[in-house]
Amino acid sequence: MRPKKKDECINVIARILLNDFEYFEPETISDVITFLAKHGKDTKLIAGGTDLLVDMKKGRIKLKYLVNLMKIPDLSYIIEDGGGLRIGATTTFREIEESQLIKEKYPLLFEATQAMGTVQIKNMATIGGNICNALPSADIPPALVALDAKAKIVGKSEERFLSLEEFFVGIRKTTLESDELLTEVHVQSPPARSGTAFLKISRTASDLATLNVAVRVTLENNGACKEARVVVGGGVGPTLIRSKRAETLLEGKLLEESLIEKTARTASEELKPRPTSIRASPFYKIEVSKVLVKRALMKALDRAKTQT
Amino acid sequence: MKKKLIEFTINGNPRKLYVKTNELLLDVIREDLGLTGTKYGCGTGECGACTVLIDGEPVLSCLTLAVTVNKKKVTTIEGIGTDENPHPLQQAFVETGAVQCGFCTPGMILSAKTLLDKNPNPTEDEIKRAIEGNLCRCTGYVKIIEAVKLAAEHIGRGKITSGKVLEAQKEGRVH
Repeated sequence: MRPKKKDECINVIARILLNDFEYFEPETISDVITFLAKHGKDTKLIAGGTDLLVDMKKGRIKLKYLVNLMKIPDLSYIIEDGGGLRIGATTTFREIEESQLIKEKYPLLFEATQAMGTVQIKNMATIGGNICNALPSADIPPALVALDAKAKIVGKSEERFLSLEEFFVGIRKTTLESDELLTEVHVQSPPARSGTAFLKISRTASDLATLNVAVRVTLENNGACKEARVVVGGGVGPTLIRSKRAETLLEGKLLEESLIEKTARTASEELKPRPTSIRASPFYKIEVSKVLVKRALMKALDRAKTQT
Repeated sequence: MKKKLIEFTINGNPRKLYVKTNELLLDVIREDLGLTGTKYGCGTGECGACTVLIDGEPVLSCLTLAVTVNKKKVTTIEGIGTDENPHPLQQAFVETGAVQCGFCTPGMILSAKTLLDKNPNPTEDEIKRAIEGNLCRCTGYVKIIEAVKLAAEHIGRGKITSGKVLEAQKEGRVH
């Protein structure tokens, strides 16, 4: 039997928060930036708190200051703008799930949101929090990467945009500096003749993913594949994995079932699940990925064909 | 230990309270306010036993800091009905035998109430989705789903939405 890790033991008694901290409720983004410039290294930002408080209960986190972002009115919105969608960092998943705009025009994000968490979690958890926690099991990041999403990051002297793919660097690690705030997610509107699909396997419908897959297929007028995105997440490595090798196999070709099968095998070869992976063995994850990537691509292809 | 003054509404009653910055809403509800209908289950957001309504939406009080409910409306199971005048959902849970050990029941009822307030005639699938965040380990989901359907019928017959039931009860229009 595997010896118990330290935080599994702590879990049993984690009824209260042992940390003592000062609590702040800024009302503007610039107040947060000013605070972070001074105290960034000792500060944790809280939005929904569904991940952060669990980590605090388990004693994984040290902090002096806790800054609540939920009182900033300018951080919660869903706006369609030019060629895409802008979502404020503290927009909850319930708001995203209930947005008609997202359901109709960004079905991939809608499907991923439906697949994540329970009603209660979705009422609390925010898109910015989900991204910044950078858990390899998260459902939303693969969908966002398949939609070429960018994060808007604000610091004390500059604003920058970073593709989400580059944002994640490891388990719970991102390129965000301690004096920076992720304020917005930009999602590209999928090009014409695009189809998308999100598939997930988990123990129960609302549980964390054992494996998840987000794909996009964009077709030429002649039916050949113009562009593809194949992203696998759910703990298949330190971050989600976008398989560019798989995408290259599809691009420029007519998408026959045999090619899609080969593509799925190629994507599965790029996965690096940990041997100590909790929800399934690496062998299982890799086998399942071949099936899920294939199914997702077939579904996306069918949907792309019905688009004009 | 740092404390902050918060003002909020609990089950319709305004309260002012000093809370520690690291205190959980669940502990304030159970220990400071003595409302023990809200349960401590897993503490990590899996089970839904600690479900309360904040501004009408179900959330997890074990993952909510008490300081963050300043100026908000909190509703617990004690706030939606009494022994004499139970909420139609509470009545329906009794009538269908949807309560076994009872630990999940307060959270189940609050999740179901939010559903019925918005959608008085839910399908079975909509009921299942609404209570997906509430685990019952006696495995009594069949009866629970029946109870929610029955409550929807009760409310439909009274020609009032469940959100208005309490007001109607106070005015003696329904029992």
